[in-house]
Amino acid sequence: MEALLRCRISRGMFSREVAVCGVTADGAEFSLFVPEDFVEVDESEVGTATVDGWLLVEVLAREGGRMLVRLPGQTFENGQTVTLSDSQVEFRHRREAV
Amino acid sequence: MILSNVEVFHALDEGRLIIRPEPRPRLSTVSQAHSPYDTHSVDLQLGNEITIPSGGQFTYDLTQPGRIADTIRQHSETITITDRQPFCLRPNHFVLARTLEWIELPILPGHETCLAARIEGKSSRARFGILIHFTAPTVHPGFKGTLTLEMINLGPASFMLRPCMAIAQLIVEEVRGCPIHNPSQFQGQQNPAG
Repeated sequence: MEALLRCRISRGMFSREVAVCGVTADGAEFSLFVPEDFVEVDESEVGTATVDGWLLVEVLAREGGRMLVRLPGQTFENGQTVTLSDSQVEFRHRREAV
Repeated sequence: MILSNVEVFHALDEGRLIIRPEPRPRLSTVSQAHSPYDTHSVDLQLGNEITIPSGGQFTYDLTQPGRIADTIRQHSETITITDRQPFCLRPNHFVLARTLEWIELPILPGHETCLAARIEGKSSRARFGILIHFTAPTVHPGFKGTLTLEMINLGPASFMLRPCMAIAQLIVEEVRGCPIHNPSQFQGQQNPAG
């Protein structure tokens, strides 16, 4: 099942790539680079500033108001799966990519 | 098991392996002698962007989480290369680049196997001392994206990087069984990122 995670998005190291910064259910920050196809931003585009947006994630398990999700890439901090609170994600179809 | 070129063609035709743009031609002909496919590999081309990391009075520390991706990006410069303005990779210099091709290794429901891949250098580039990756060759099942190249010139002379040059080879392997991410990782987890 796919979901969208609230996150902060800025330019990546290449075109059509973005840097994503998110927070786990326990408040730990993580960051990763992903193709821009995996994000939806609130602004019309990702410029030089950091903007709010959504990251496409895959929900692997849910339990007690928390969920284990697989991110679309490896984080710098550790691994590709993180635990989130249910309130951090939305279950809806993604809008057009940036 | 490593896929032969014939099996790679089947995987491409069946959508188990996606490479965009698809390398062509599949077979050499009299009129087109070069095919990017070898007996069990397919050549990938260099994209048109080179990212040059910069140094400074800072240290990356992965135990200090948060915004690391943003920090790396802020301490690097990305340039576009063309045939007329290629990039000269000098000895002992390190840059990041990407393959021109977008790769997908979908995990298809109902299939008993899926595909993984490894990106490797080419011997003809290695003779100049060029590494196109030095630690991360694996392309996991489920991957979608271009492949990032960690390039360094260990040779004594500069080496010119031009867009669309054959820079790497992809070796495709069959993974027996359909992989899952073990939800038991969730049980008792104290640090979600861990």
